[in-house]
Amino acid sequence: VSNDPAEEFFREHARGAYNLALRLCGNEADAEDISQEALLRAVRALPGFRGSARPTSWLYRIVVNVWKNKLRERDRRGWRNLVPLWLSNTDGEEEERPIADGGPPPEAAIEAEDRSGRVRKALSELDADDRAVVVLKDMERLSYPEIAETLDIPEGTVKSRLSRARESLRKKLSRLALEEDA
Amino acid sequence: MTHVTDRLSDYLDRQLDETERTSVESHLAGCAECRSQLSELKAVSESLQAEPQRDLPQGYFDRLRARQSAGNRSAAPAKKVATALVAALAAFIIMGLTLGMLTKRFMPGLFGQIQGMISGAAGSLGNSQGK
Repeated sequence: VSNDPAEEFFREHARGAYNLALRLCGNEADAEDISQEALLRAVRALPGFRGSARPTSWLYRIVVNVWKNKLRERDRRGWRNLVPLWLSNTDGEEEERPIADGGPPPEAAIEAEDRSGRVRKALSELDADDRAVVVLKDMERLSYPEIAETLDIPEGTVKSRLSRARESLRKKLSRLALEEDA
Repeated sequence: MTHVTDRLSDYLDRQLDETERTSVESHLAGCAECRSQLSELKAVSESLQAEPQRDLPQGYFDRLRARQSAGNRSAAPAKKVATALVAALAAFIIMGLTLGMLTKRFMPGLFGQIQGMISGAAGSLGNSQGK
């Protein structure tokens, strides 16, 4: 067991930071880059961290900020967005889904996979602020006060942004379903 | 009939007070369109919740530590350069003061000339700024 506070911090928070970054940016290479930069920044700031915020909210805020900075950098360079590779599941590994032992039959699993792909595509089309709030609520399962703390916005804004983001996702999904049927 | 689309997300998350919740529920009871939208919103939310947490890619911690070391290494030369600059500046000031004191003691004439030149330069600088 390491006594290095940085090492302990990495071990405790790396997976959460990586998954949040992956959900925000949509591809593994950028998720690794973003989460590692966030972890290194957090560790450098650790001695001054007084614990006024929850460590997770604090780290998640850094992840969201690093991600937004990358988006701005790429926009300046003329790239429209981080490339969401997850849309095509081209990361070379199949997602583990429990099919045996009482899991859904293969047809249902395929249908769930299709739906999951559509949801992630629709998510990638949201603007950054809306995407962040819906990822934090529905994927990271943060409460409204935690999201407000993480994004440094009032709870009322969390509610209105979430409502707008979900409605937008709903419409995009209807469109994507129609396109696939056509 | 006013639809309740803008309150469905809050309803889904149980964020409405009792009065608002009752109002939304009574509307839902008579509005198939809003019921359908609520069911779609619920499905969207559930699909997102069902996304599994991924494991870290292999070698993640090795690459993280390498970045940490690289960051420390790139910060170290900058610190050394700053220290060297401060030391050089301090040496320059000490040397100037020593030279001034020695000149005043052993070559008072030269010292007076230099003092006069400095006062003249300071005076002309003051005049040009005052214009």
